Amino acid sequence: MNDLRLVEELGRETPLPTPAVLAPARERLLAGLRAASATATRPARLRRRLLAGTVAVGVAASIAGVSLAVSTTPRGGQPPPASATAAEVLAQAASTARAEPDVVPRPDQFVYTELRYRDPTRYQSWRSVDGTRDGLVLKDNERMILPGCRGGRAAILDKRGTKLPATEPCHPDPAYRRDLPTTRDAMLSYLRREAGGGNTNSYAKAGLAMMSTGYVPAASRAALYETIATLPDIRLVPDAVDGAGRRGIGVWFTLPGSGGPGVTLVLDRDSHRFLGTNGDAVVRTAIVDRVGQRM
Amino acid sequence: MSRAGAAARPTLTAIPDDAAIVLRSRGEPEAFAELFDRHAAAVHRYLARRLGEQVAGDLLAETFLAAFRRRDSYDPAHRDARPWLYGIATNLVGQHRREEARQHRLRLALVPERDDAFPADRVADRVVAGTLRRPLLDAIASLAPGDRDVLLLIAWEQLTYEEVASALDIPLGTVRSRLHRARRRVRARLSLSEETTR
Repeated sequence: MNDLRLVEELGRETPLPTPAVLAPARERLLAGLRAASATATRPARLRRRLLAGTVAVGVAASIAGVSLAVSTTPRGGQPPPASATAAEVLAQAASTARAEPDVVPRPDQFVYTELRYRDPTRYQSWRSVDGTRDGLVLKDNERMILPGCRGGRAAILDKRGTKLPATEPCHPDPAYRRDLPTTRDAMLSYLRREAGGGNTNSYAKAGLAMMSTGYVPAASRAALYETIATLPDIRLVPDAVDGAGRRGIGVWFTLPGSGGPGVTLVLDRDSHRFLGTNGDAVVRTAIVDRVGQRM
Repeated sequence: MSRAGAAARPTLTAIPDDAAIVLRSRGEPEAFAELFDRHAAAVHRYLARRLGEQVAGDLLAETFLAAFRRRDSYDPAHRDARPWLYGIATNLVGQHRREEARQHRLRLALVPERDDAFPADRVADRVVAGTLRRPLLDAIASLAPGDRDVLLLIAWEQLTYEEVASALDIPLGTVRSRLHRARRRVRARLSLSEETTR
């Protein structure tokens, strides 16, 4: 045997890694890719707003249902009539949202959100109301700074999510969105517009994910419920469980194109407030004065 | 046109080559994850062979993030991205000489488990490699970094000379001369005669 084969033999001491070994590196790469989409284009920035913290995946997925349903509605035609009971629940949820007092945070405040996932990750975020201050994401014990965008520049993060003494161009990414539509028809056009560009429904996905975190003005949330009510295949789930194990009343619908089992929006049985989906749960949202504060 | 030719076409268009993925990722960063799913295992093993499991995990993410940042300069004529990824990984290895030396000491100390289910026709190789393991490791450690990169990309990662040239961005002639030098040195360390080297 020759020297090259001996060296080769030595290489056999190291096996190929399992997918579990590769998973952390894959996560880090994905975070980097998402951050890149965030700075690339305007719709991509919208996506980052939500996905920067892997916000509410289940709800995020549900927007695909919304946008696809929109795009398959015949031009000039009406969406098919929805199942009466599920539609009623959504109408209740919409009117509950519209009745909520309109909380308008100050630009220097933060939106705090705590999410639970079924897996069970605890995810907390503090996002700058006007997008100019540094926010923070805590995913279990992992910390990631969300750099504020000031004067068109934001700090660059290293692989551990810590700020580096360098900046990149940015657009402020306000946690509180005043510019979202507040009626069903305007919301439909908005989602259609957002899903129109690019290759997927990801922009619209981001839009719904953002809403799921509860810092979207109540009237816009109401408009979203009314939009979902126009989906052709919604069904009532009388006893639904959200990502944190809380029971409520659910509205199920498919995610066209995903081939998955669909998603269930879980609402509080009495108040019809949004709890989460079958995969995640919005445990708490609050407007706070500084990062780290929870109420 | 032959039937075989017609049948092959859909397969070719259905599975995009690496170049197509890199090009797509320029407008759609998330598409780059596909490249990871295709090649991460091989790149990880290469990093683990050179620097150990622990460092490999860290540098794996860095390799792909660095590749992603350089996607605009990727030459789409290269349909297979492996040489490109190996080149980036090798650069990172070059920045971790201390870990490389530590991994060398570690491998000297730890003799790996042998797999009994090993195919019979390679048992002889195993035995030789077993007795020659230590001098072999020392020989590899004693190589000039550039020579070692070429030797290991060929012997461990099974890259062709052309792929190594592309990975390390060096002329083909340099690949040949580095490999020649590396093998001569390994043979000298192992005191192998010329007859056993073919």
